[in-house]
Amino acid sequence: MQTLLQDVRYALRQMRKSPGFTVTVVLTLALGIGANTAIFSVVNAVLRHPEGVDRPGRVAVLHVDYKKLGLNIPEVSVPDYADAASLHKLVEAAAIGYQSGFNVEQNGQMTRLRAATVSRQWFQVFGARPILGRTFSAADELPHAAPVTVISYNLWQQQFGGATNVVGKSIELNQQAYRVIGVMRSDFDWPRERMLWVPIGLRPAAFSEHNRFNEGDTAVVRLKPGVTLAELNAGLREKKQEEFRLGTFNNYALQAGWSMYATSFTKYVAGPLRKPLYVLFGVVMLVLLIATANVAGLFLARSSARSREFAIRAALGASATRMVRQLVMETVLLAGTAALLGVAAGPAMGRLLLHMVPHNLAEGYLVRLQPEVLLFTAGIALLAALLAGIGPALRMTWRDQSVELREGGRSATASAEKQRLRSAFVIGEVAMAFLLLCGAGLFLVSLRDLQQVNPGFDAHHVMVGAVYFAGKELTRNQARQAEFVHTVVTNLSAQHGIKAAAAVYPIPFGTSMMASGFWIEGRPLGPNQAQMHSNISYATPGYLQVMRIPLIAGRWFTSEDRAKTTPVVVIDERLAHRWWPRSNPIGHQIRTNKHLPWATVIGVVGDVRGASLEQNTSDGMRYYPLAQANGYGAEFVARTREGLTQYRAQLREAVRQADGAQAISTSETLEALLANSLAGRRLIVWMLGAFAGLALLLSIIGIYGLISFVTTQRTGEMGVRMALGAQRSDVMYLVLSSVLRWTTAGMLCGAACSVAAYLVLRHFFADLGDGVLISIVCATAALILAGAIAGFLPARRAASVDPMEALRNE
Amino acid sequence: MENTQPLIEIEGLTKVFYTDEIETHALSGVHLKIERGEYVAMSGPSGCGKSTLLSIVGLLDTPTAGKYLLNGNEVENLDFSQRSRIRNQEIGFIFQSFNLIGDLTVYENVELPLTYRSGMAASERKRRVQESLERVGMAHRMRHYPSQLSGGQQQRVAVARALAGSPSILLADEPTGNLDSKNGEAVMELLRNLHREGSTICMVTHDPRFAAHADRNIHLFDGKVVSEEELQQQLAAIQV
Repeated sequence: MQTLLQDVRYALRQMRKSPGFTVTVVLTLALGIGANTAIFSVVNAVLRHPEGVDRPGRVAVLHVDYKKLGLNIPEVSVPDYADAASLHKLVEAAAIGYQSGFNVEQNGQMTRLRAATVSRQWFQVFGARPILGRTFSAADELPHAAPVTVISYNLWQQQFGGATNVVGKSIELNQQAYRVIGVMRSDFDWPRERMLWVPIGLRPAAFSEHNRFNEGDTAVVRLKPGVTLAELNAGLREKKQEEFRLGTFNNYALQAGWSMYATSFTKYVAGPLRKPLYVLFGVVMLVLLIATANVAGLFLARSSARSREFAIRAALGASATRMVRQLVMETVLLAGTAALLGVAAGPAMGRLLLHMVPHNLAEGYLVRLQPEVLLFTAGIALLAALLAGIGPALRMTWRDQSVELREGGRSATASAEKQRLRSAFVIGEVAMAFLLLCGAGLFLVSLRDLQQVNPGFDAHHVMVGAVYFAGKELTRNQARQAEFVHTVVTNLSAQHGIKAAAAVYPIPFGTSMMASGFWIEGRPLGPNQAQMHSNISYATPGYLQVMRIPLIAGRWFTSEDRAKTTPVVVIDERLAHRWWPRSNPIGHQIRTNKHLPWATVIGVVGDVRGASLEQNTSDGMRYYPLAQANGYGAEFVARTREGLTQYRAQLREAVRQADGAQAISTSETLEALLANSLAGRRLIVWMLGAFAGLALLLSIIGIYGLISFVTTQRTGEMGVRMALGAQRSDVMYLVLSSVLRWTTAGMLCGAACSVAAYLVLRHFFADLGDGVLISIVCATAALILAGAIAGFLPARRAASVDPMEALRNE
Repeated sequence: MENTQPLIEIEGLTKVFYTDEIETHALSGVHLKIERGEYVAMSGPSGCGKSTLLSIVGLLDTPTAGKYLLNGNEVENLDFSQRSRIRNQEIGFIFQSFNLIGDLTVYENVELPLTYRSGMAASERKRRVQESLERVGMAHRMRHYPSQLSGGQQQRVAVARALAGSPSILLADEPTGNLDSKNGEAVMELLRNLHREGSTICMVTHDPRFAAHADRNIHLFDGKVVSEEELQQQLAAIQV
C-alpha cells in the first residue's frame, strides 16, 4: 500500500513536471474516451435500455412472416395476438394496440393528437405505472363502457396545466367526451410520441379466424422471468403446428409460408438506427485505438528521456514489476483524468449526436449518465491506459540497463528498436485512419448513388399533408369521405401557387404501407402455389399529374370512377410484367378477396418505390380510386410554387372549408420524406466523416510526433550526411521519404482492412455501391497530403541542421 | 601541366564565437599552407582551436575573417549548397567517433557520399566502393552493419568512405581517439599507407606519438599557430 501511494505521488509529480506532455496525453485520450462515451450513451439509450420500460430485455414484439411471398411484417392480427397470449407458461402479459389519433379543438383550431388504442395489458407489458389515477380495467373494454383515456405527462401539462385533480375530468376527442382515468409517467412513450391512450375494446368477432391474415396491430408480450426469446419462438412454432394439426388455418397459410415469431423489443424500437449505431460504435473504437497509439508513441518518446532514470532505478535494485507498475500508474492516472473529461463531455456529445439524428429516427430517446455508461467509460479508460502504457513500460524495463548507464542512455541500436515500435504505432494509426476515410467515402458514394435513384416520381415542389377521418359521419360513410376528399382537392387546387392537387393513401415513403393478396379472374391458384400479392394505394384522378408518374398504357382514374360505378384498378409495370408477361393486362379482372367485387384493370403506370431507395423488394402496386374505397384518411399532395408553411396554411383552410371537424395530422415536403428514408445512411456519412476527420488529425499528430522524434534522434546522422556532401534537399527528401514509407505501409494495411470491411458491410447495407475503389484513391490522396503536412516541418528542421553543430553534439 | 599551387592556402583566418555577449576567439589570424601529397598533423591542447580549424578547412564552418583558397579557389564565402558540393568532391572526413550510419550496411555507408553526386552511374559507384573497401581491408564485411564490427573495423570503414569519392584531401579529426592502442596503431598505419599512395592528409591529434607519423606538425595554442618551442614554453607557463 505504501509503495502504491508512493507510485501515485511520483506519477502525480511527473504529470506536474511535464505539463505539455500531460495536457497532450489527457486531451488525446479524452477525445477518444469522450467519443466512445458519447456513442455508448446513445447505444445504451437506444439499443439496450429504452426509456420508461421496465426490464426491456423481457419485452418482445410479435411479427408475421410470409416466407413464400417474401414478406415480413412487424404487425399481427388479433387471432395471432390471442395465440401468443395463450402461451401462459412463457408469457406473463400480452397486449395489442395500434397508433391512432383524435381531433381536439385548441385555440379555435382543430388539432390532431397522436394516440394509441391499446388493450388493458399494454402498460403491464412495459411495466409502466401511472403517476396519477389508474390504467385500463376489463370494464373499460366492454362494448358500452363510458369512453376513458390515460393521458401522457405532456398532455397533462399542456391541456390541464399539471393539475393534480385531473383524474375524473373530461377531454373532448373527436367531438366525444373521454374521462381521464390516469396520467402516465413522463418517460413512458410507447408507441412513440403518443399524447394519450384509449382502450381497444376488442369484440369477439375480431378473434375470428377470418381475421387471421388481417395484420394491422402491434402486439407486445412480457416474458416470464427466466424465459428466453428462443423459448418464446419455439412456443410460437409449436402453436402454429398445433393450429395446422387442428385445421384452424386455411390453405392460404401453407401457400404463403405463413409463420409468427418474436423479436426483442430493443431491436424493434431501434429500427433504422440499429445498424448505423453499431457501425459508429466500431468507428469510435478505432478512434480510441488511434488516440491510444498516439499516446503510446508519446510515452515511447518520453521513455527515451527517462531511460537513464530507469537504468539507475534498476541498478539500485528496483524489480521489473515495480518499474512497470510505476509506469502503468502514470498512464492510469492520465487516462483517469481523460476519462473524467470524457464522462463530463460524453453524454453531452451523445445528446448532440441525437440532436443531429433526423427527428423521425431519434424521437423519444434520452441520453443520461447511467451506471452502465460510467462502467463502460471506466473500462475503456483502463483499456486505453494499458494499451498506451504497457508496451513502452515493458520495452523500457526489458532493455539492458547496463547499456543505458554506460552510454548515458544513447545507443544507436536501442533507438532503432524504439523507432521501430513507434513506426508500428504510426503505421497502425495510418491504417485505421485509412479505414475510416475509406468507410466515409464508401458511404458517401453510396449515399450519392441512392440520392440519384429514381423513385418513379418527381418529388420536387410536392407537399404532403395527412388528414385522418374523425367523427362518426366521416369514418363510416364512404360517399361522405369521397365528397370530403373531392372538396379538399378542389379547394386546394384553387389556392395561390398550387399547380395541381390530389389525394392518395398511403403516400410513398410515408409512415404506412398497405399490401394484400389478390386473385386474377380465370387463374386459380395451384396447390402450394403462393398467393399473388402486391402493395395497394388509393388515389384520386389528379395523382399521376401531381407526382408526374408516367401512364404506360390504358387510362388513369377520372371523376367518373365513383362508388357506384364499375370497380376499376390500375397496376404498375412491375405487376403487369409479373402476371401478364406476354399479354395486355388491360381488361382483365382482379379482386382482393372473394367478398369484394372484381375490379377491371384499366391502366398501367410506371413503377414507384414505396419505402426505400436502397432496395426495391416490392411485388408491384395496385391503385384503386379513393372514391371507391372506405378508408381511414387521405394524404393530400400538391405540386406548388409555395413553401411548406404556406401549403400547411392552405391545406388547413381547404380542410376547414370542407369539414370543420377534421384536422391535419402531419405535413411535409415529399423530398423530406425521401430524405428521411436515407436518414440512417446520412447519419453514418456525417458521423463517419467527422470521425475520419478526427482520425486524420490524430494521424497527422502521430506522424508529426514520430518524424520529429526520429529526426531529433538522427540529428547526428544528418550532420554526417551533410559533412559528406548531402544538400539540404537530400535531407528533406530523406525525412519525407521516411514519412512516405510509413504512410504507404499504413495505407497498404488500411486498404486491405477496407476491402475486408467492405465485404462484410455489403451484407448489412443494401446497395453499398461500388465506391470502394474511388474511396481508396481519395483516402490515399488524403493520407499522402496528411503525411506531407505532418512531415514538412520536421523535414525542414532536419534540413536546416548545422552539420558542424550536429557533429559536435554527436 | 602539373598544378604547383598549394592545395590549401589560408591567410589571416579568424573565428569568433558569440554567446551571451561573450566573444570567444577560437582562431586568431591563422596562416597555413598544405601542399598536395603532404601529411600534416595539427596538435595542441584541448580548446586550442584545432578542431575549429579543421572544420573550416573541411568547409563545415565558415571563418569570421581571413582568406581560404582550396585548389586555388576562394571558398570562404560560398553558400551552403556550393560548400556541400565541394565537400562531397574534394574532401574526405574521418571522425573520431566514426560516424557510420547504424541503419546502413558497410557497403551503403561507403557508397553514401557517392549517392550525393549527380550523374555517377551505379556501376561506377560499385567499383569505387569495392576498391575503397579493399584498400582498407574491409571488403569481406561489406554486408555487415556497423554494430557488427569492432571499433577499429568501423574506423577502417569510415576511412573507406572518406576515400570513395577520391577527394583532394583527407581530414581526420582524432581518428584514434575512440580506439585502443592496437587498433589506433592499425588505423595510423592505414593512413600512412594512404599517404604513401599519394593522398593528402590533414590530421588533428593531441597524441605526439601519432603526430610523429606526419610529414609536418602544426602546433596550435590559443587559436594561433605556434612553433614547438613556443608551445612548450606556453604549456610550461600554464603548469607554473
